[in-house]
Amino acid sequence: MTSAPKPDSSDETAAIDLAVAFFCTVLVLFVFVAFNLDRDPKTEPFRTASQEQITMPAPIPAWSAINQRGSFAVWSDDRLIVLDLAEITHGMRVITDQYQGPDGYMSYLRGREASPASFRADFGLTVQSPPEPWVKEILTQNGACPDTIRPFVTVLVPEGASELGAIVDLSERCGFRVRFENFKVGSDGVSGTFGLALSARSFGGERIFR
Amino acid sequence: MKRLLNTVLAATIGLAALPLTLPLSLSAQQAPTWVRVGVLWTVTTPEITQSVVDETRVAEQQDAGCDASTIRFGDTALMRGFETGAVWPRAVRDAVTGAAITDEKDDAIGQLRTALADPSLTDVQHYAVENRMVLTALQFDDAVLARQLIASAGAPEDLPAALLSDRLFWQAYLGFATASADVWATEYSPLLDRALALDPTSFQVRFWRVAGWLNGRQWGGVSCATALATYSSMLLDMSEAGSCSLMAGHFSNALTLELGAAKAGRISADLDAWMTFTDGLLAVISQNPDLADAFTAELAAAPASSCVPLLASELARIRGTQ
Repeated sequence: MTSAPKPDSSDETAAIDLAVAFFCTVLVLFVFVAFNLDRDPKTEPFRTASQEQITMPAPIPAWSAINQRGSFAVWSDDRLIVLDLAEITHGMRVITDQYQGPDGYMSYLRGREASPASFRADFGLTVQSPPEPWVKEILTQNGACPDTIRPFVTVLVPEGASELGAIVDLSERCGFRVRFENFKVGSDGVSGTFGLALSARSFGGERIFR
Repeated sequence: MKRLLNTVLAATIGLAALPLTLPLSLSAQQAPTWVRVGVLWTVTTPEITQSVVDETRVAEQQDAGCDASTIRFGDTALMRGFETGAVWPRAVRDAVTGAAITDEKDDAIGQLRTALADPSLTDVQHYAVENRMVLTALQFDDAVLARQLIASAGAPEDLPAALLSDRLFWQAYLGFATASADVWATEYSPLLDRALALDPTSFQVRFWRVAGWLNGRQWGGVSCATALATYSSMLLDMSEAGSCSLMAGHFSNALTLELGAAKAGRISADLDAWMTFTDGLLAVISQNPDLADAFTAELAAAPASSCVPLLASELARIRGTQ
């Protein structure tokens, strides 16, 4: 009686080894090719000539030959109080009509430069309730959008205010662009001061680009 | 062993002497320029052998660096330091200041008319207030009123050069958005050239020449070399205002904003190439070699439309000489 030849275990092992080796080779090749063909889109930082480092995006300033005229507004208590600049400038021209009171004052200094438009004015007003004659509109979160304000509004925000999202929502809803300016609030926490000035120095070098 | 050593030594010396035998007469115009960006090398082969961009001006501006130039950024001649030579009456100052602050157009124009009616103004002051009125109309986006005011103000004989320069600039400004290439070349571009001649300290004129040239696609219809010569001289005029890296960036961004606003939605490969050249030249002037190389490589890789080879070669040449 001849027994069937037993399958040679070493052959079997060799076949398995070969199969596993081949599989591993293919796997390595696959991984290698996959990583080399990886098409990641290169995120290019926005390059400008003002960049000192090519890998960091530079802020984009803005300049225009003609500055667009804008309105001024004070932000307090979730309300945007748009100031009536016509009334304020009337007070600059006619000193007797200038508003001076416990809730607001103005000091206006005529410039002495070549341009007659140069001036300096300092304003003080109670943030919660500016003087009645100076208020043109009060915009609230869900109120109506007026058409008497310019498309650009400089919003005076008390120093340290953090909740500015509501202003941006309001600006998007009513279609005007917003620029923020700081408002120094006095030690009593109620009144604030801000200054406006226009002179030849306002157009100095880099300032006009910001 | 000794023979082998001798052979190796001879071979090394021979290899070392090999570069000396290469022809040294490869001029810069025929040798390709290799530019390295990261780990990639890009070659730009200059096909044109003339030099168009003025490298002496570029070198001057590089040397000037961040020093202040005589160019002023004011939007009217008076803000740039032009003196009318007479005292402004108080009432006029108040009226013009009020007009400068207020956000209601009628109020502003009314105040300026009141100021104009003041009998104690000299002629020059009168013209200056007229200019102020034109500027106010433009600031309130009223192009119709601005045109009317410019037309009625006209160009009197005794109008000082700086004030006339502003009036010409505002005329060109009004035509910027809507003028076609021919109209810009024939009507508005000469106004700006004249405005620059009248008042060389005005930045807005220099800037607007560049913006108008790009916006009006003035590279069409002339040879590439001529177009580049004109454009590069305008660009160097503009960058005289500040060869700092920060200022160069401001100019480049302002150009992008103005061109984007006027031609929203229309992308042109030619315009992109000229803008890349602009950015590259500004980068060279502000001494930012990495950025300049990046723009050179971008231009070299741009699809070859009309003037791209010349732009690429000129930028590479300027970059190479710095």
